[in-house]
Amino acid sequence: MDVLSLGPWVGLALFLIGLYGLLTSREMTRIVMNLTVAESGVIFALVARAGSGGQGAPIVGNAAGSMVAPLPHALVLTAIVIGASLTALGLSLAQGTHELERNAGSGEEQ
Amino acid sequence: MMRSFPLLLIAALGLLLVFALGDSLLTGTEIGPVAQHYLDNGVAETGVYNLVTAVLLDYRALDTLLESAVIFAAAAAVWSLMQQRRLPDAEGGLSVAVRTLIPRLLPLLLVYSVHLALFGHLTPGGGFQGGVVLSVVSVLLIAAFGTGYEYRLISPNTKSRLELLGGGILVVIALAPLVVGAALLTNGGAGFPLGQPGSLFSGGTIPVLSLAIFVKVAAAFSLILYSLLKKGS
Amino acid sequence: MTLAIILLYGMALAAALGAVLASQRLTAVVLLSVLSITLALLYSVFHAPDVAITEAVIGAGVVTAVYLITIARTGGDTG
Repeated sequence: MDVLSLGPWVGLALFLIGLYGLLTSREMTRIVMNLTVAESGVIFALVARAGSGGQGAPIVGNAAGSMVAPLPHALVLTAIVIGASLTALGLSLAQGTHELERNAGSGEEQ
Repeated sequence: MMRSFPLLLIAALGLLLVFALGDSLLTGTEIGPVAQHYLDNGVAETGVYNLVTAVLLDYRALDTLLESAVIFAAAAAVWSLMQQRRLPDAEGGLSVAVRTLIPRLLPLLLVYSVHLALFGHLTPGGGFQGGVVLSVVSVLLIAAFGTGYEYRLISPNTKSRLELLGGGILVVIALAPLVVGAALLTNGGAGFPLGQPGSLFSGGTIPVLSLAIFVKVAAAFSLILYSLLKKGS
Repeated sequence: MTLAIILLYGMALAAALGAVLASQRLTAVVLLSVLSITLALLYSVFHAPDVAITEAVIGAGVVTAVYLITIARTGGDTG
């Protein structure tokens, strides 16, 4: 069995690992991290499925044989960049939540 | 029982996904008709060698335009969430070793980021990758010399103006084809010269879009990082 | 080559499991950036240099920096 065709299955496993983390975590930064893991799994499954079908990167003049499909790469690039900006947004919300909880806690003590 | 419940749920979902996708997404190597069209006619229709860039900035340029809108929205949201906060007073930066190494590393990263943005239509890379590398430069500056140094070098106001500039160029190029009656973001079909494929000035609007995205993404990501560094009162 | 790819698969799965199960957030962040670098290597194996560059820069650079800042701002290495 070709080892490259195992790639999408590894992606599925990464997705499930991230989803398990999402189900079991309560703290906000951990939730964002596990979301990142699940997202990486989906992205890797797409790229691996596209990549096992050819012999070269989709750049003219570079490929020795048939090129792989460029469409999944383009979609996945968009997903990675948006994922990074959403991670930043989630973490800034986590900072805000932490601060609110701390302020509420010190208010009760007084 | 309660502890193993999530595991059971994930196992069930995994089995379901394996049965649902096992003979389509997870196996099989055929290339779809759309991707095959891009592979066969990409160079002739867009004038660039890197077909991923061709899809990103020509065929599916509308996706990229809206993606940069999403990045803009995320940066604006982070910025407004952190608006009440102030920069930490301590701005010393890290140890001498870091402060010696990083200034020697920075020129390389700067050149690499500009290379990625300029040659994205010929080699792997593009505006997004270049912009993110450039924002890493800003991370390293903060790590080495503290937030104050970075603030004086490029203030957040300059960054937000640069982001507006990049977004403005994107919108102008997106709307320009409407003048000659072509669809939004048309490249070669609207009369932009495609040039000789393989040369630096080729691909019509693609290098310009790439540079605009470069400026916009770099400014947005360094603004996000800068906002997250602020401390609450 | 085959062995290297299998090794990379194993590293990716181990890093992801470690990041999900780690008791400290700092450990999880480091393992996440290990996962990103491993995935970047795998993308270059799968003929996707564009995606590899992006994943390496974003996953190991920007996102790690954002996580570290947030952990420092929300009570250090607990939880």
